[in-house]
Parts: sequence; structure tokens; C-alpha cells
Amino acid sequence: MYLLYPTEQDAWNRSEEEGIAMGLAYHTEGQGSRYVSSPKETIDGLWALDVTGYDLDELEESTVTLDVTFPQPTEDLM
Amino acid sequence: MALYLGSTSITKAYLGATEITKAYLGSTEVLSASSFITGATVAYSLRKLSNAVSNVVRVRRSSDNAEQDFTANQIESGEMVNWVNTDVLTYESDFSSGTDGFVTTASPSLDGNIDSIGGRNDNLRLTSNAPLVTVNTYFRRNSILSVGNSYRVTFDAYIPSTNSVLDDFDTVAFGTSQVNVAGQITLDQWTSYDVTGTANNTALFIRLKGNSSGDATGDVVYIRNVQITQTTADGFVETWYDQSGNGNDATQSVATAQPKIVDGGSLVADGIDFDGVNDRLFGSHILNTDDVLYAAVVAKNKDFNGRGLYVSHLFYNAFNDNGGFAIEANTFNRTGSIAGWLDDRGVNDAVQDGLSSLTQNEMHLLSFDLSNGSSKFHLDGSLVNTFSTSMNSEDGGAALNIGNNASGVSPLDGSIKEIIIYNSDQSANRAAIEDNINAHYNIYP
Repeated sequence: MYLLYPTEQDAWNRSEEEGIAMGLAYHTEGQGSRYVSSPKETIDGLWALDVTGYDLDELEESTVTLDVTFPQPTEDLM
Repeated sequence: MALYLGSTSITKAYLGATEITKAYLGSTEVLSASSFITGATVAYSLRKLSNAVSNVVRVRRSSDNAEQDFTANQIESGEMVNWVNTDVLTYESDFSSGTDGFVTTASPSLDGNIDSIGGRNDNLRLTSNAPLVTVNTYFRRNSILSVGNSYRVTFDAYIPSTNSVLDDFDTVAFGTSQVNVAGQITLDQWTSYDVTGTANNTALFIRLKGNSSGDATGDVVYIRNVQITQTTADGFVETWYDQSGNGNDATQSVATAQPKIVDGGSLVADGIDFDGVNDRLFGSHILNTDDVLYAAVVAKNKDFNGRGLYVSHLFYNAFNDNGGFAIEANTFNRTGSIAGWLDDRGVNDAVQDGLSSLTQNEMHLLSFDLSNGSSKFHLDGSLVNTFSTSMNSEDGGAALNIGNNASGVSPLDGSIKEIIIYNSDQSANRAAIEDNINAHYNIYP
């Protein structure tokens, strides 16, 4: 399940916020794991963050969605 | 330090049939089993390849997200797995102001902050609102367990003898994996439970039962002091340290994209496991020219149907002007290939066929070299394919990828034990390097 953000940075910020809540090492020791999940761009130009397992607030609970379409991979050979 | 016979670097030495793994000149070590990585640009392994660095991997354990560095010896001795499986108290109930995340079905109801039960306060109470006791008469805590891992659950319980039907606990379920706890309760007293189990779902259930016929409506049961201790965990690789001495460590700072080294409390058998979805490690910018390299990988792939990247490096200067290499199942989305390079996209790029020579889900030693205008792919020490190249050196400054490509469309469903890359011509040393690797892993006869 996903939350949608207008910018990639907004999505990374939410991922880092969850990382802080989970006590990931970057936020407790200054090195190591920092984020919980990575955002992906949708076909609409929004940024979808997989929030499975996140501790969501009420607003987030009401806006979480499974209805996300990602673009077909471009011919990224590598 | 390397040992030479004339101008030839000696990477292996024997006394009779016994391989000498170390040799000293006075107190100076002049030969080790891993001398073959001298001059490598990067060297990733879970075994000790050099004295350049002490740690080989940094691991995050899933139970509390703690991280720690480990040496090859600590992995081999089991110390790393023991650390991952450190008992961690993952939940301790507090019913002083509510149900603390416990839920039940529609029929019974839950209330927290219930005082003066058997002389104790701040209890959680289940009240039956239906005549029948069913499999759905339970205390449930969602999203509290990690699938595949083991737990110890302790709690205190109180059932009054004034109940009409509810008079015992039935099971504690770790998902759907149930442990029978019937017959332990003493009515009108607090009774302590201590249960261990392995989770196959994320929810914990404490189920009730009734041993007599009648109407259970209004029956009550109390619990308190619920503690959940995780006794095994998963271990994920945050950093795979470069043992070449060049500091080109491979890292993954996103927790859900980290490959696994301990699974459900046990060391992954075949190195570092990539999930075939989004696991990936990022190296640094390691190659200054892309027309000379030697890359060796010890790995297995569970799925040849799609792309599955072991390792790649790409130099992007601009679209249609790039270079780089990959060792990848169905390289660059070309069915049946196993390695290749890109150079001036669509002009000089090419792939090596050879995927059919590999066995799915078996460990192989794959190597790819570019030197002197030719490209060769070796599998388990034998040449599979060769052809000439016309590459130009380019450097777009991009970083090494392990387990997936830069755009994320080639996730490896498999595992990797070792990666060694030279940004130099190693055609004269290839056989010795691969002999050394195979001598350790015994991949082929």
C-alpha cells in the first residue's frame, strides 16, 4: 500500500521519518540504515512510497492507496 | 605483500599435495591464500581476502534495527548469527489507559484500565457478548510478529469462577501456528503463561475456550503483563566491505532494499541473498576506463526467466553515449545472454550468449574480461564465448550496482558469495585467480 507525494523529496522525507521512529542506525549512531523504503515515480508524475508496516496517522490511513500505476520500464539497458 | 618467482607473482604454493596458505619471511607474511586479490579494484566476500580491512560486512538485525560490523571469523564461528538472534523484548503491554493495541472480534468487547482484579490494577478485560464461545473469542494484537521468526510470549491471566462458560485458555497462536495452553489456568487466581512459537503471520492470538454448556454472555477474562520477546531474527546487509584496500564499500541505506544474510535465525547458506524484488547494493565509482576489466562473481540465480543482475558498472555521459559492463541473466534484456558491455548505445554494445550453460539455482563462478580488444566470458573456469570489441574508454562517473541495475528493472533472485573486479588486464592471471576461488568454494571439479 502506498502514500502518494508530489515530489520525490517529500516521499524520502516520510521514509526517513519512519526510519527515525524505527530507530534505524543512521539516526541513533550516525551511520548505517537511514530510510525504510524507496519512492517510485508513478505514471501521473507523483511519487509512490510503499508504507507497508509503517505507523500511519489518521490522515495517512485515510489516503493510503493500492491503486498506483507505474510506467513501463524504459529501455534502460543497465 | 606478494611472493614472486622471478617476475611471476605466486598465488598458490604446495608442499606435496597440501596447499600452503601462509608463508613468512621472518615475521613478514609473504604469501596468503588470498594474495590473488592484490591489485583488485574491489573485492567483496564473506571470507577473509586480505589484511586491508578487518570487517567484511555490517549487519542490521530485524528485531530492533541494531547494527554491527563483523569479521569473516565472526561469521564462520557463529558469533554474527548469535548477535542477530539476541533476545529482544519487542512488546510490553500497558493497559493503564486502554487496550494498548489489542483488538478482538465484534462479539466480545475489550476494555483496558480495569482495576482491583485479584488484587491487581491496570488489567485488560474481555467481555463475551454472545452465548457461544468460538474460535473468534480471543485477544489479538496485529502487526506484532515477524514471519519466520521465533518468539516467547508471557502473560498473566485471571478467570473468575462465576463465569458460566468461559473457563480456560485454548491456544496462543503465532499467526496460525498454534500452541495448546489448555488446562493451565487456576480459576480465581492470576496464572502465569510462558509460551514459545514461530510466527507464520504477523498477528498474535490468545484464544479462549469454554468447557461447559450454557450462555457465555457476560463472561469476563482478564490479562496483564503481556511480554513478547523475539528470540530469532533476520539479518540484513547494510554494508559489504571492500577488502581490496581501496575503500569501495557497497552499501544500502534503505532498510527494505537490503539483501539478507540471516534468515529466520539461520545463516543464509549461499552468501548474501537478494530477493528478486528490490534488493540491491550500491558500490562507488570504481572504473576509470571501461575497455579493460576483469570481473569474477561467485553466485547463483533462482530464476532465469527474467533479468537478474549480478554486478554491473555503467558510465553515463549522456543518452546514446555511454559505456559499461554487466554480468546479468538475459543481459540488457536480450534473452539467453549472460554478460555484455555497452558503448555508444546501439552502436558498439554487445552481449555474450551463455545463459544456457548455467544451471538454475546452482552456484557458479562467472567471469567476464575485456582486454586487448576482445571480450571473454568464462563459466566455472572454462571459456564459453569470445569476440572482439571496439570499445572506447568513457567515464561518466557512475557507481557499481550489485543485485539490480541502476533503473531497478533487473532484480536478482539469488545469492552472491564473492565479487572481485580489476580495472586492469588480468588475462594472464585469470586461471590462477579462478583456481584460487574454486579451491575455496569447490564449485566445479
